[in-house]
Amino acid sequence: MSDVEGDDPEEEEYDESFEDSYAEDSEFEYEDEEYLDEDNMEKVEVEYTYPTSETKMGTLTHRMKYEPVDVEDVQRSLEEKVKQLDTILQIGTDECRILLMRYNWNDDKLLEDFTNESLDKFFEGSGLSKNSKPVGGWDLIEQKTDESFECHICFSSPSKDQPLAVFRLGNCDHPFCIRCYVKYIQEANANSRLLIPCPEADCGLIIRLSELQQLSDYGWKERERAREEKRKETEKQSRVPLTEEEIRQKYQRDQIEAELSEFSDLEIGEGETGENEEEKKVKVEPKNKADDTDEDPEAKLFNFQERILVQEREERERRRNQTLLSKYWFNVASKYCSKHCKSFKNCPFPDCDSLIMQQGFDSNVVATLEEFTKRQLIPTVQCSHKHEFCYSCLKGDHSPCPCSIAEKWEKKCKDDTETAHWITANTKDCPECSMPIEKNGGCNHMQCRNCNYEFCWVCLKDWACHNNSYFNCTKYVEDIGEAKTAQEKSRKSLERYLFYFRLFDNQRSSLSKDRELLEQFEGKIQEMQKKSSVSWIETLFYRESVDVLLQARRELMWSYAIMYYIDPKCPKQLVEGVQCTLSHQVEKLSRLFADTEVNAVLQQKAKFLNYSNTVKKSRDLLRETYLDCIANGVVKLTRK
Amino acid sequence: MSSRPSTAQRRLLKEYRELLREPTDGIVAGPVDENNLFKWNCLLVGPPGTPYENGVFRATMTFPKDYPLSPPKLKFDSPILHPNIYNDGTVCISILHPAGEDPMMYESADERWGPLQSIEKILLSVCSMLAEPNPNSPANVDAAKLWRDNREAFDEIIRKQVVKTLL
Repeated sequence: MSDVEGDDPEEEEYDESFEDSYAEDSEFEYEDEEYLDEDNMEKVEVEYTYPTSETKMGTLTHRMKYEPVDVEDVQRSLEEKVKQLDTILQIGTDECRILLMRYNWNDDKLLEDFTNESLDKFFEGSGLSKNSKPVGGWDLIEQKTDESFECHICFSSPSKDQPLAVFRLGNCDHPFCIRCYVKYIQEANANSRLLIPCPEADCGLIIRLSELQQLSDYGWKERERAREEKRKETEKQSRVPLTEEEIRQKYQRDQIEAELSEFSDLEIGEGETGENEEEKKVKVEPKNKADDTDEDPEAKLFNFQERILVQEREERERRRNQTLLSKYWFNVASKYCSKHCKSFKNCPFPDCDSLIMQQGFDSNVVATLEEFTKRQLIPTVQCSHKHEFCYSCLKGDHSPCPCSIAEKWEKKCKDDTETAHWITANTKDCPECSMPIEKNGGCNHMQCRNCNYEFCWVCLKDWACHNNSYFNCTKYVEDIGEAKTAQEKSRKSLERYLFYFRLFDNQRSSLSKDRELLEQFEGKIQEMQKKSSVSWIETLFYRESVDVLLQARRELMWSYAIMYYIDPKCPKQLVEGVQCTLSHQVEKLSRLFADTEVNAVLQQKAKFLNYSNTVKKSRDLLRETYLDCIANGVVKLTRK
Repeated sequence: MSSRPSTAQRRLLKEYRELLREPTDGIVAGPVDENNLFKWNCLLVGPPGTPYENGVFRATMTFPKDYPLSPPKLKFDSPILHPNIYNDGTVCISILHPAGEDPMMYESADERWGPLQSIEKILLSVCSMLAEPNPNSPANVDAAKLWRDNREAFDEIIRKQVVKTLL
């Protein structure tokens, strides 16, 4: 049993609703007595990779702790670190932040050096001022009117009627015109430099965050002002016809703008983002409205979730690039993640920018990821957008198949695709009337339109024999003794490969077909939610069942890949048995999805819960069995 | 009426004026064409006491649009053998490299490019580079090898190149 237990709020709600429905519906039958087992209900607070620390068969396994985070979370945790250090050193958070960045956030080494070296020397070497003045108000920005002043970057000077805004760091006296300073920081940001020194080469002071804040605020205000002016002007222009003089002025202005934009793409880009914000909102809304009445719901529902993901990502990116400061912070956090690449990994899914933070292992034997994967364990993690992937090889979830086997299998599939494709064509003939049949749903229970014969897609035998017994068609009958000649052996090997490949491929196509079907369903359910007063929580069970089905299919799929690599001499009845059970239950659930009309979903709630719980249990059993068998050496993975 | 000059143009014009007002020994530089400030011709006199002595080397400097935030490029037009100059004449010197990504690089900030460096400083650095090659990061490996192993042959080649620059 797991040592860390707690109740996931979402899971709790789900359980309640489940039991409610159970209480209400007296006719409710459940097929698997065990489904209410406490084991199933336990949830953990910290997320762990599978498996639980002890499997049913008693093998002690090891888990990886992790937490899905995003860049902003990392920012917050870094800020915490800065504050912590400040309570020890008492030198100001700005200074602590620079020191930490210099030490790659290694505070132990920092504190060691801090106590060993003299303070002055330590500060000087780090680009900090010995007698630092706190930054307050707007005292760093000054409107220079002195005509003898000259910005050393652009050589512009203030004139009598036009003062020049200059900026300097709090602890040095190297003022530059604020436009140049902003561009200087932008350039540094674009190259993701973190410790940005004063532009004066001999100065060496590093710009502090609160100084950057002032610069950033100023830049923001200026842009707002410029935008406002521009808006007013365009309003004016649109009302009054222009005189010749005005047209000439406008032409000149446009030219200047064109040149400026050439100079700094970044600033113009930033300036526009704020403006786009409103436009975007306006743009998005009619889109959403159009969705409700759209003629072709399938096309748009298919990437409904994808589109939301892309929108969210764009919004986040916009926010990150909005000001100098936000961009700077983004750089700090992402650099931190890339420097600590062992504990942070990006979600590999397209258009997803969430991170996974690895938090060590729940084991006293395994300490690193290498050791973890060496034990044929799979560190499957789930990011904050519910994408499941393997933390080690960064591919989509492939449990219960170990990384090395999954990689081999994928390579083999790629190499042998030609043959396999030729053999596993898209259609199969009906075993009764020889009518070509294309499979259009995930369920393996086929019914011929022509002769009404019901059969199993996998073994092409009568469905009747599948109903009450196990799926015997997913067991491969080995006969080692008969393979005599080399030719026969290779034929046998190919046959064996094709057998599992077909199972794998079949499961894969079922998976994608089920996904399509369910995505269409998802849209319909949302519609239903709007029309009738069905609450979100009431349809939650449906989404959960969908997740269970898709995940179970994926695991089943990968379990076939393992089967190919299992030494034929090993006893594999146990794993095959578990596989058959899961296969049977997955088909049942899939069938339920295919058969249920949208309107009747709520009435079928008990059935959905019942089936998906059974599937969940069998799936866990499958994982555990595989892990146990591999860990205990009951089955060996020997094939090349 | 021409449009308002950009920051880069203003700055280049200013630097040109300064160079005309207070010329530095051994350095002549100016825009190729009054209408295009982003391309300069330079003449460098070989530093005395080195095999480059008496040579007058021609070079072209090209400026990016966001100068002075980004450094210009310098390329010798006259053939010149030097460990830190590529075969095609492009100069490899730290002052022409933008400040590095590595935070620790900041210690050598005055050797790297920054908005406060100037054309004059670049050309002076190149002159001192001619006098003291940096064999640790050679751009032209053959030249660096020759410089290290057979200084006499190295000097001889350069003296021939110097004569050519004067023809």
